[in-house]
Amino acid sequence: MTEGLLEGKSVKRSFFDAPEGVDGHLPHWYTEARTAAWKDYEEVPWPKRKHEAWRFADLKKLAFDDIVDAAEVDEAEGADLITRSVALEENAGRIIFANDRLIADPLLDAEFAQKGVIFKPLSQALVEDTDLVRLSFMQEPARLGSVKFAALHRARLRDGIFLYIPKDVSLSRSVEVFHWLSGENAAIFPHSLIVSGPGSSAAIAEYIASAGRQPGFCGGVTDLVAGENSRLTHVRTQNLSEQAHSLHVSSSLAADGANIRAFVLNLGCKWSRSESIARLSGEGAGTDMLAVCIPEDSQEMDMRTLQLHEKTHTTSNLLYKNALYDEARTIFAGLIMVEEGAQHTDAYQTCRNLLMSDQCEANSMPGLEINADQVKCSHGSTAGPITDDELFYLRARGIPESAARQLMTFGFVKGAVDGIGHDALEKVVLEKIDRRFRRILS
Amino acid sequence: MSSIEIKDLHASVDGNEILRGLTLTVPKGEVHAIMGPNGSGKSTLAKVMAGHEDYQVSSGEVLLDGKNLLEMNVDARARAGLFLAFQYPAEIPGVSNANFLRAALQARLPEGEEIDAVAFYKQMYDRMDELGIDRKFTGRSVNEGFSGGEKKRNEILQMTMLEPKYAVLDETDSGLDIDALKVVAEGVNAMRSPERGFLVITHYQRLLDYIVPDHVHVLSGGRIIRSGDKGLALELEEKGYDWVKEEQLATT
Ligand SMILES: Nc1ncnc2c1ncn2[C@@H]1O[C@H](COP(=O)(O)OP(=O)(O)OP(=O)(O)O)[C@@H](O)[C@H]1O
Ligand SMILES: [Mg+2]
Repeated sequence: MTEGLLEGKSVKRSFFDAPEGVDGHLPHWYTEARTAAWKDYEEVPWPKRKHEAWRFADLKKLAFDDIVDAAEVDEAEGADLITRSVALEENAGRIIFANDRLIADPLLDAEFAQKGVIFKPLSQALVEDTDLVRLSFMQEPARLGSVKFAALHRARLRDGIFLYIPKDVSLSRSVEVFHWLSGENAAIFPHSLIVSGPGSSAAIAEYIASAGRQPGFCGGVTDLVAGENSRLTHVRTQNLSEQAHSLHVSSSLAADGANIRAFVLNLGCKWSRSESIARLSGEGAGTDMLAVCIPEDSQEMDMRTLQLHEKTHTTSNLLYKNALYDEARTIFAGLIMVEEGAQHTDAYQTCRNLLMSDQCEANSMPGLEINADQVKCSHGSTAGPITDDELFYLRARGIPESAARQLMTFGFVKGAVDGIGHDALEKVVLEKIDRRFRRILS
Repeated sequence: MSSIEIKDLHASVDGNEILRGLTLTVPKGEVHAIMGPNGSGKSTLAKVMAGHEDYQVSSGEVLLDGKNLLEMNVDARARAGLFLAFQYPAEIPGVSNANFLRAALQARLPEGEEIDAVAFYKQMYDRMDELGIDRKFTGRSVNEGFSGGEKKRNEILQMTMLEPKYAVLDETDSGLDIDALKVVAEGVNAMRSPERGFLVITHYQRLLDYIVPDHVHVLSGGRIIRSGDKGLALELEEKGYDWVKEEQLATT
């Protein structure tokens, strides 16, 4: 056994028992931290609703007692999942995982490999590029409530990707990562570490989805580290089964003049939580934080964000759009924090909720903490249905009510998708959204 | 049969009767103008015809080529050939002009038939050029952030694309500068045909210099109190509405 597989066992309020010892080939610094992380996981108390970071969260839905380590998928299923791993028409490379194991050879166009681009499984990078990985691997604390789950991730992490773009290299096509979750109550812990050298640029898409409709758990971490004047675009889509749970922690760190765009699409899961931290640690750095959530039935989607301005002339722009159906719930808690001396900061935060039923519930908790005086900041959140005036206008042009609602809802969420600023990626995301609406309406 | 016939229409909002026995027929091929003081019920008439749910019709009929419009829902009325250019067009965030028009045209096709995208764009660009609307507007959200005049032009663009049998234009001239007024009037005139009827609501004689009506009606207190030819509009401009109201009182 190479990992601590404890299938079938369940421990109240902990997913598994302690992970098994050290894997021979992995670097010592990594395995040591992994062991420490398991201890942290066990010691950090379970979240409580009265904690500010967990306000409004339905913690009853966060019950993972039956969860087990995901097992390898069989060959036939692997082959099927490979055929389902299609998104962009053209990419610069792609890596496909099922249950945190590679199911196809990783691909990266030779053109970019020759320029020094690294795009490979993290397990491989930990050995081959260990110093580069170590510099940026899980350097950001999980400040938004999930210290315990970040520790769990680090302890249970099996694989993921490492993307590195050397100085001044520009990746003209995006790379793609597919993560499939398969098996009853299986848990995966996908990890992405993306590092851009000075003056470089790249776009990457990650698609996390269930193979079937079973319950399961995904505890992912994404770290983006953008070097001086580099540009990173990251798109993550979550389309896990409606029985699954997911808890994802993302951080981004932008150096001088760097620009990071991060987009999240949340479609699946009974309960999902996404924590996103954008640290603007360099002068003139900028970030766009974008998200679309389309929950239905009794899905709960919980989004916690932090826009952290540490230096002057930094810009952050957050736009989250939720379209809620049935008895769905969303929670948005966003904090803009401008540190002392971070003058000439522009920080904007908008969360809009489109209420498509009378029973759905949107909770918004915007927050500002400003410790500099030359700052432009605004935050706003709205929640409301499609107005009668809008609906009447479309119907007065002959568009039937259901089509009118679909058109407006699509238009509503598209506003956030447009912010990706990358046509091919926008198209992939819009197709997923379109399929979602068709399903909801049918 | 080839007309919009409004017969003794009574309609109210929140229990207040606004239309009180309005009767009017607009045959195909004709342009009728409605003038009347603020609050007399002109926009109410337009919205009742289009099927707005805020207004309750207590009695009367509206027939489109003999079909009972009041029995149809809002979108079915539009597909039956009625078009309303709004006095205050709504803003539709996130829905581009092009997608909006496409959806409206698509809704008129039989099940399973798809709109020809190339022909659609060509037609749209041609109409936009004629109306002096920048092609950039195709990608902008419907009416969002449009100036007053731009909204009105956009209404006319929709009308020319949807080619209705009957169009009700509610103060399409208000907010238009003189050049835009001419352009819009040309757009309407180009659509005049023996197969189409217009009901033009306006406060100003000026519009009727460009869109010359066959008949002019005065709406006051929820009913038509006087009808005449285009000369009536001139007279109104000169003497004001009190003149017609007084005359009406004298005759009833
Ligand atoms: N939805 C509504 N709720 C309440 N009152 C209404 C509503 N719609 C119309 N009214 C009232 O009905 C009356 C007629 O309004 P309408 O908009 O039809 O007038 P109009 O003739 O179009 O006036 P204008 O020349 O100012 O456009 C007004 O007194 C108005 O306040
Ligand atoms: Mg009016």
